[in-house]
Amino acid sequence: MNTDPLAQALGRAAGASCSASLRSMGTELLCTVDSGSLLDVVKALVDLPQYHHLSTITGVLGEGGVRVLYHFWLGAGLTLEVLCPAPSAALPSLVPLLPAADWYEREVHEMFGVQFVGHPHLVSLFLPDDWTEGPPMLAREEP
Amino acid sequence: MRKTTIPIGPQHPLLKEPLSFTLEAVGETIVSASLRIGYVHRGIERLSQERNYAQNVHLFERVCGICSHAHTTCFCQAVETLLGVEIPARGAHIRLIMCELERIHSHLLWLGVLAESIGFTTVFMYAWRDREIILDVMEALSGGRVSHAANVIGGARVDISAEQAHDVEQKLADFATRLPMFEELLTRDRSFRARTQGLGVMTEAMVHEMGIVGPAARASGCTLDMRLQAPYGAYPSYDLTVITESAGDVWSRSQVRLLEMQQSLALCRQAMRNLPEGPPSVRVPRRVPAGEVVARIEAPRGELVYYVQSDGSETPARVKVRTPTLPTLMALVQLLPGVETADVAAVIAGADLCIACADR
Repeated sequence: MNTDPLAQALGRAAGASCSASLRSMGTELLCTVDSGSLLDVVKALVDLPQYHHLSTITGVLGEGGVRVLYHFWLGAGLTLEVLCPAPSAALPSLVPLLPAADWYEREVHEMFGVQFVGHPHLVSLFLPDDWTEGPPMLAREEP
Repeated sequence: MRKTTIPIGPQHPLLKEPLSFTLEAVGETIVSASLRIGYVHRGIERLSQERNYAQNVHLFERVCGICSHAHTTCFCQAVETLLGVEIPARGAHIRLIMCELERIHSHLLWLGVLAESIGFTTVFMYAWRDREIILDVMEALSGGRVSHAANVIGGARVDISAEQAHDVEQKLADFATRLPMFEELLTRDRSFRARTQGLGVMTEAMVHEMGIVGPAARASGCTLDMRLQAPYGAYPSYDLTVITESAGDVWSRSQVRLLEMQQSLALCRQAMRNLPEGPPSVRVPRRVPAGEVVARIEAPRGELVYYVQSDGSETPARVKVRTPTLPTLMALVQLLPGVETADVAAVIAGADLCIACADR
């Protein structure tokens, strides 16, 4: 898959710092963004002529907290990676920009405890109403 | 006028799987809708972190009872990318044949459910009767009607003998004679059109905003089809066209699915005839090199996404599954207000939901 035009477009749209962190992830691209500039980068992406949709948002448990991955499809796959230092740390919500983010942010919130500031209805999506054990993906196995 | 609250689900004769709508109606018109899902959430993503890659193929097959083969294809593709393994051409063709058979049976299943929801029981009976031919073929090829276990990491678990290919070709030729009746029904039948045209309209703007994929998006004029946008497996060897409609209503979705069934059938028969020689699979190591990858395929309901992260061990560190039903469900809540109560069943059935897929 030829992702060069996408890399150039991302460089133009989101600035040099973002395109500098661009690297390949299998057949697709990955780019690290700091939480402060996430909304600007996403806005730039959404305005690109080849923008298609936000596929999903993945939470991944990392060494220093939770990595939140935003998987986009723009004729080629692009993932934005945002590092969330503590599980309960806050990220800006994409919902005002992109309604598609609604349920995906709710899922990352309930499974990893990440707060999305500006989300209109940040409640559980899959877990039962009486779930009290905290975000299940953070739970570690008993030794 | 007083509002009446109508709860539908989680257990309700209208629904094939559990989800819970709370509708508010004024007179016969729905004025607001909300939705609760999660009744069949099984924690499959978390469980996959406790299983090795070979076991996980069987685990992800069980995400869905309709598009089970699509799930294993996408998961295997992700792991094969991490391994840097290219699967043999024969295995890629067998995967394609199973994927397209699955698309046909999924579309017929949808047609049957929709027809039943508008009281057209005859079409329901015919669609599900003819779907049996496809299920028989899938069973003959893999041994399973629902869970086929046709994939392994490195290719296809099953091979197709010349004798099997002959039998399958005969069954598919028989199936081909059944499709014109559905074309006649869906395109010309007045009562079918009256119940589905102008109903549950998804606009192209809504498709982009909510990230709707698959036949639902294509019925609204969007040209997204992962088989063409990100060709995988044996698809680059075949000519495919994107099938679109413009109105975005339930009727347009039936037209897209009808034409897709015809295209899938032709593709299946072509691939059966062109089956390359060689082994269906290659052996792969149990340990997968550290890394992360996103795989996308076109499942019967649209773009299926798997994110797989490996830490270099025999078990994945993280697997994330995004099934195509999830964005459709988000949009469905917006489609229901304004609909007459008598049409609610057709709007829900017309969205082609797979709840087990969405909940995981």
